[in-house]
Amino acid sequence: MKPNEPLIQNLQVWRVSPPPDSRFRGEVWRRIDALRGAGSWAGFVRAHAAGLAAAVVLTAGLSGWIGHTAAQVHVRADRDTLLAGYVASLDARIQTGLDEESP
Amino acid sequence: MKHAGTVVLGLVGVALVVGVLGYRTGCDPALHAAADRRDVTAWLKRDFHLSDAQVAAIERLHREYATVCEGHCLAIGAAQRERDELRRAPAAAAAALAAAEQRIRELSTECETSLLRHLERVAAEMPAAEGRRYLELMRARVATFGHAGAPELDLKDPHAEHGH
Repeated sequence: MKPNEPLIQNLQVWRVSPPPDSRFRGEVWRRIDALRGAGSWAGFVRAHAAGLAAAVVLTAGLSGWIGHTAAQVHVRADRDTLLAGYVASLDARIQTGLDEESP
Repeated sequence: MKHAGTVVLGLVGVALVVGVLGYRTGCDPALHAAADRRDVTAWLKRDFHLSDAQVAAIERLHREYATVCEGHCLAIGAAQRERDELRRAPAAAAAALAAAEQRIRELSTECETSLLRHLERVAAEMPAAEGRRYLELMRARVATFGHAGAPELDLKDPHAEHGH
């Protein structure tokens, strides 16, 4: 124990006397509240606001584009059906099956 | 990760709602209804912005052309039958068969020329820009003859299934 004797003596006389801080208690409660809030939905949204907003915008943009494209494909198919029927009603070659004979 | 499920569900909901909205803004219910009814008049009126008077004039032209088209149908049908009989004959002369094939090609060309002339008359009844667009579309379609059939139309027998 001898080599440590000065250290032990120092520790025995050491006293911590922090300066008084009027905000200390409030600061502790603020940190406790922040930890509590992180578990709630509102806290989660606040903590990940940017990421969530980006995900919503990306999802909305992509699904809107997919929906619109699907509709355009549908419109084109409808138009093609009408056009084919219209031309067939006027073209004797289609009505006589000549188009199927053509190489 | 406690809220991951809720976030995924929310995003799926957003995707569904916006996807449906995107579809609804992109689709054309009137055109779809016309396609379901095979109502080409409604389609022409809508797509080429025709007035009632223009539609009536075009319908009159189509009625007139129906007789011409039927004439082509009958002529082509007769030529096909003649050729088919020659094909079935045991000792068919190659020259006669070639002549029958040639006759069909000539009738096909006549039919195409007549159809294009009719389409030009129809286009002339439309507003100028729409008429040009119509003619461009129709010429392209007529030009694809033999490369694309008319879907969902049974046109094997020109007399039983004639479209007029």
